[in-house]
Amino acid sequence: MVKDKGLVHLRKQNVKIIGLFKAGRFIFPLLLLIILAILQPSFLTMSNFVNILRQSSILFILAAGQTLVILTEGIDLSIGSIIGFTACMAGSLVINDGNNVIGIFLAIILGMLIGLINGYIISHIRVPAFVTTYGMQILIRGLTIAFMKGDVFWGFNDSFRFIGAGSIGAIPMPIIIGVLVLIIFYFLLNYSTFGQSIYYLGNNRNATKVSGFKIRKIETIVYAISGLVASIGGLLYLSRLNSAEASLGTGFEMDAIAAVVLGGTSFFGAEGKIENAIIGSITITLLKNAMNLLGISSYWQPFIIGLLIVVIIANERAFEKLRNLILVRERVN
Amino acid sequence: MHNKRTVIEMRNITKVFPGVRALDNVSFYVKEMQIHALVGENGAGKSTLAKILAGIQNQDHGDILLDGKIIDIHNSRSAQKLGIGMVFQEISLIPTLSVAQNLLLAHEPDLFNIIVNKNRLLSEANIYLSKVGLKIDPNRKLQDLGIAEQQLVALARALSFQPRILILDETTSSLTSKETNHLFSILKTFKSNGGSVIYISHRLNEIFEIADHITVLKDGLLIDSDSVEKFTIDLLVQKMVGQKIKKSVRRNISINNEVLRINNLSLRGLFNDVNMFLKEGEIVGIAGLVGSGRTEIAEAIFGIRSFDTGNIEVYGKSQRKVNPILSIKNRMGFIPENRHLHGLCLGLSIQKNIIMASLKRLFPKGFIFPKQEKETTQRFIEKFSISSQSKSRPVRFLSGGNQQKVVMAKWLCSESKIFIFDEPTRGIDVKSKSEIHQLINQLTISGAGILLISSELPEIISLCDRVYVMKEGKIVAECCGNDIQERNILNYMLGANNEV
Repeated sequence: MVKDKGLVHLRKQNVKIIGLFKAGRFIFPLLLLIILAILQPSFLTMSNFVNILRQSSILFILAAGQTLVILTEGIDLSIGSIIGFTACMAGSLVINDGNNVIGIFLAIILGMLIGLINGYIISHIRVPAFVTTYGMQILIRGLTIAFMKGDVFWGFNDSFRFIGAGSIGAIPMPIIIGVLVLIIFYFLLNYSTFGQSIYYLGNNRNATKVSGFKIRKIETIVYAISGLVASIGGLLYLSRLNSAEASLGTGFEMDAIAAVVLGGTSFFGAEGKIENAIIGSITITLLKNAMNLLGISSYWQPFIIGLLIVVIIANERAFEKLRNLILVRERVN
Repeated sequence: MHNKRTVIEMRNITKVFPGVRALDNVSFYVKEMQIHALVGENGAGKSTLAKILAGIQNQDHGDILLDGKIIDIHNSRSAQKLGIGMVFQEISLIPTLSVAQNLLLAHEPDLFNIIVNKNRLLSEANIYLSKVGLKIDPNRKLQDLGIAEQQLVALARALSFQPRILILDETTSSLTSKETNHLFSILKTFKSNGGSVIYISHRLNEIFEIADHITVLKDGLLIDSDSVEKFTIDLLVQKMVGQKIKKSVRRNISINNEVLRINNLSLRGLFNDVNMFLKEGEIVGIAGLVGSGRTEIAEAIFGIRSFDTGNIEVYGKSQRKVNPILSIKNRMGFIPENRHLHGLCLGLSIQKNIIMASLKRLFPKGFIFPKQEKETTQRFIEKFSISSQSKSRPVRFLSGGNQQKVVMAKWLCSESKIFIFDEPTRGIDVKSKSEIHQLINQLTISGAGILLISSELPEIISLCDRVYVMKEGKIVAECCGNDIQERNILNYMLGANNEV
């Protein structure tokens, strides 16, 4: 009996440790907030907060698509190029014809189509996602460069500028669209059979197939969604930036992947939530904001971001291992 | 002939695995210039005994004596040094390396010679290959060779350590008779040079051809050990099986409509012209050795594997092609041999695993109602008494028995009426095993038809109404009623009947 008591006690302790692990990814952004508030009074202004949230929203929209892809144990490296391509196509239509609706519609359809091609190659021809989307990254960027031929489109009409730079009441449009994406993705992952099948697929491809799922279809759709939301994020970015050139969106895929993984979604599939992408997006945006406010040299900023990503992810893995160890010990046969 | 020395002796060897006594106080010895056959059913303890000698597993009790001195074999390297070589049932070489590299792996001709002398490597490899009469280019990658050639390379490698005792575990299971004869001539040469062989095989005819001495194991116990002249095939089978009679745990169940019929199903190289049927309320066993095509047939019926010719009739509806989606619609469930590979999402909860194959049926519009999901799965968790502290905990942390119950619950939840069980109790503790047997039995009471594949004959005998016996991709016998006896089935499985 004494032994039993000891076991129960240990379990309570373990619950605390696991709780701490779960809280870990909130602690870092909170800590950053506090330090900034102390060191830099201008950080605490309303306008800075809105600014951070607006920037995070665009990153979050990209990270939301990337979350689905990473949950299937995949990766989408092509979204930066999709952003550049679709934004430039839309930009050209808006500038030349002044037709906002067709421009936006075309951008979204093109983004989805490129995603579909990615998904088809990955799921049907079985080329690894890394290789496929890396190839697509170069291909699409090349297409954009060929299309733009060094041109820059700038000075968009006011109604086009509204989607990225405008606001309804006090809330900027990117935040509104970001919240919409969050609601849709939250519902998709938690309350739809399609979302559930993404978790199954990421966890065990074979078992998912045996259980009657069309795994190729699921995988293809996931990449199509990633391409689609990338083009939406790209439009918001273009609208706010007010200028389109061939290099638009370069490297965005890395920020999106970092946001997903920083938020705590496992790189090995099937573990993670859409909420994680919010935490990750805000963390990265906060970090960039903080370095600017603190006057850290822009030469050193990428180094610090890289360092923190490595440290946070290594820390998460260590906790995860600890958690698994505890669970295995507690396992009752 | 009479006064040969004892080379190796095993005294009172006991080895216990969780839930099973693999070896129970087994003593046996091998003399010089002797080919010593170890026979027994699956799980009798032959491979465990061999692995203890080769240093891959350690005994819990008992001593091993080499030339009368107690020795300690703690790993395969020390077994090699003591002159014990082993060729495994599964190929244990590295497929992506060349034949020469595989042969000289772990030989370390010069300990500090980091740069490998390629010419020397090749010439040494050729010496070893010639010993087994294999004429192949040692530069070829192992994976490009046929299974038989790979087995011979494995043998060449074992011989390259110049062992005094050679252990062969089911080496001939993938060889043709010509290749087997070649292997036997190598073994005979090895024997005449003073070596001893421990030979494990299911092919009883071969044993009478090559062995000098036979030791029979059953359920971890030594049943008999004597020179080959004292045995006949019939006697050997009887000893392997023991005197068990059919003890049915089944009560009388009305067997009605046919639910499944397999017509002339063939897949080149794996199974050939297979015909079967299954009725409502019936448990039909498929017995056969590993590699007899039984798992492949099951996978083809469910649609995980395609087939070349033939068709599958489910409830009278003939199908030329099947896939899991169709099979699930046809109310079929598949409990796979490897539950980690084909059965479970290890990282997800019990609930998510149970609901897996029913998601589309329960929520056809694509929206999940968590309350309904919870209530549906809860019924099965209670029914199967799956024990776990938390339903949200990944099934990775459940015991094997509970994991298997989750797989079964999944197919019950999807309202299956036809179940294919492939090795349902492999690696499962004794308590869960009997629970699973009861559950299988209960399924038939509610009218389900069951195909049961198992390596454990007692399982098949106690549960099945009818048994198909498979050998080398074909159904060689169908046993009903009183014919369902271990001895009978084993005879067909091993093919002793047709060849004596």
